[in-house]
Amino acid sequence: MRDVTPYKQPSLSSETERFDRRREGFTLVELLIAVGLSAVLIAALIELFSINYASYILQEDVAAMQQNLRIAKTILERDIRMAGSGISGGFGLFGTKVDPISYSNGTGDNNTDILTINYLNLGTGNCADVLPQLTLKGTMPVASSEAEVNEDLTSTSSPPTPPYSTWGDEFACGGNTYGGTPFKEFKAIITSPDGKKSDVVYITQVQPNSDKLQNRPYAGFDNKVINSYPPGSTISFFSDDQLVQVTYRYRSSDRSLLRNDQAIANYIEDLQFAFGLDTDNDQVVDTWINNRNLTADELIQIRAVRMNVSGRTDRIHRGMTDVRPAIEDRAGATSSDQYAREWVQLTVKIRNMGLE
Amino acid sequence: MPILFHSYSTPSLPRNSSENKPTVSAKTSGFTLLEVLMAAVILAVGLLGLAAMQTAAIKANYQAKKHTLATSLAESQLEAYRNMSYDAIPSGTITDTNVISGDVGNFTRTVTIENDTPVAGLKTITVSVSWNDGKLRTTTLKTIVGSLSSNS
Repeated sequence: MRDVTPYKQPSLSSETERFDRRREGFTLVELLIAVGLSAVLIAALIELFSINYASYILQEDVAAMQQNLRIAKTILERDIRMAGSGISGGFGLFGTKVDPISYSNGTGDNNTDILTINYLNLGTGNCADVLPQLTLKGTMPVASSEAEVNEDLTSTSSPPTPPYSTWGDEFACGGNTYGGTPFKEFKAIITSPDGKKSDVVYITQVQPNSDKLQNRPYAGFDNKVINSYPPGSTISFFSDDQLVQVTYRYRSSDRSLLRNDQAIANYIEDLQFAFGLDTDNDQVVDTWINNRNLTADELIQIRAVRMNVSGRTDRIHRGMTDVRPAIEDRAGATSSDQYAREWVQLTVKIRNMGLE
Repeated sequence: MPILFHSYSTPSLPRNSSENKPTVSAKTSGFTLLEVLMAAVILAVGLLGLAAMQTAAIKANYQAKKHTLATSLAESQLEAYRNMSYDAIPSGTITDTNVISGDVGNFTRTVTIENDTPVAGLKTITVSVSWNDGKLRTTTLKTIVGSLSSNS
C-alpha cells in the first residue's frame, strides 16, 4: 500500500540515516528494562486492585447487612411497643384468652427465640360503618353467651333512629354477606367502657324482638366472653384487620427474620429476647428472664422487652476476626469464622401492659 | 496515495530544514527512563486517590453502624426512664463513659433531666450518646414524660 520511498527523501544526511537505524528496534537491555518496569507497575496495579476489590466486596456486604438489621430493628421495635394496646386488661378471642405477648425460648432455628405480639389496631377497620354501635343493657358475666342491648333492634318500631335494625337484617361488607335468614355468623367485639377489656366473638343469632345477641359455640370455638362486662360496654362489628397478631421468628435457610412467615430482613444471624417482669406489682421491673419460657402469670407481668437482633455478612472475608457473640442465653462461638457482624440491642418499655 | 504521500512528507520537511538536529527526532521516538518513572509516580498518586475512596467507604459504613448502635443506646436509656416511676427519675445531668452497645464500646452517654419542663408535672429527658472517630459525633434523643399513675 504505502510506498517505502517517502522515507527515502532526497535530503538524506548521515544523521537521519543513524536515526533510521535506531528506529529499527530495541536493544536487549532496553527491552529488559521496559519489561521490568512494566512488571513492577502491573504487579503494583494487581495488588492494588485485589485489595480494593476485597474491600469493596466487604463494604458492600457490610452495608447491606447494616441496612437489613436496621429495618429488622425498626419494625420489630414498633410492634413490641404496641403490644397489648387495647387488650391490656384481658382479651378473649372466640372464648380463648389471648396474651399481649407470648414467647417460646430457643425453639426457633439455631436456638433462636419466637415472639408473638397481639394488639388492637388503632383504626376502626375496613367495615367500620357497616353496623351501628350497640351498648350493653345489663352486666354480661364471664362465660356468658348472651348480650342484651339498650337499642331497639326491630325494624317495626318507628322511628328507628339510628337504624339499629341492621343488626337483625342481612348486610354486606368486603364482598361477604352476613346476618339474614338463614343466619350467617359474623364477628363482633365487646369492649368495656374503660377500653381495657375486650372480647371478640361470633354472633350466632340476633333476636330483634328481645334486643338480644347470642354468641353460642361456633365452628369449634367455645365462643363465650372471658371477661365480665358492665352495663354501657360497647358492641361493634369486628373487622379482621382490627386485630394485629404477629409472630417473629428466625429462618436459618435464608437467614431471614420472619414476621408472620413473611421475610422482612435478611442477613440475620440471631434473634433473642429477654423480659422484664414486675413481679411485685409496683410498676417497676424487678426480674429479668431470658433463658426459659414464661408461665401464664409471668406473661402478664411483662413490662419491658429487651430485644436482640444480630446480623452477619453473606460471605466470609479474609482477615475478619469477629466471633459470634454470646447473646442472652445463647452461647457465643469460640473462634472466628471470618464473617463481619453487627448486634443491636434495645430495651422497649411496654406501654400498654400493667395499666390498671 | 499521492495525497497520503504528500501529507506525510510535509511535516518532516520543516524538521529537516530547521536545524537538522538528530537529538530532537531521537527524543520524540521514545521515553527516557526518568520519564517512565515520573509517569509511574503520577499514576501511583492517582491510584492512591482511588484507594482513599475505599477508606472513605469503610469509614462511612463504620460510622453508620455506630450511629445505629448509639441510637439504640439512647433509646434504651429513654425506655429505662419510662419504666421508672415518675418520682424515682433522677434529675440533673448524668454522664456514663465507655458504655457498650451491641458489639461496639466506648460510647459516652449524657442524660439531662429537667424537672417541671415544659410545664409543671412533666419532665424533659434528653439523652445524648457521643463517640469519637477522629471527630466528636453525637446522636441526641429527647422525650417528655409525665406522671401516669394517680398514686404518685
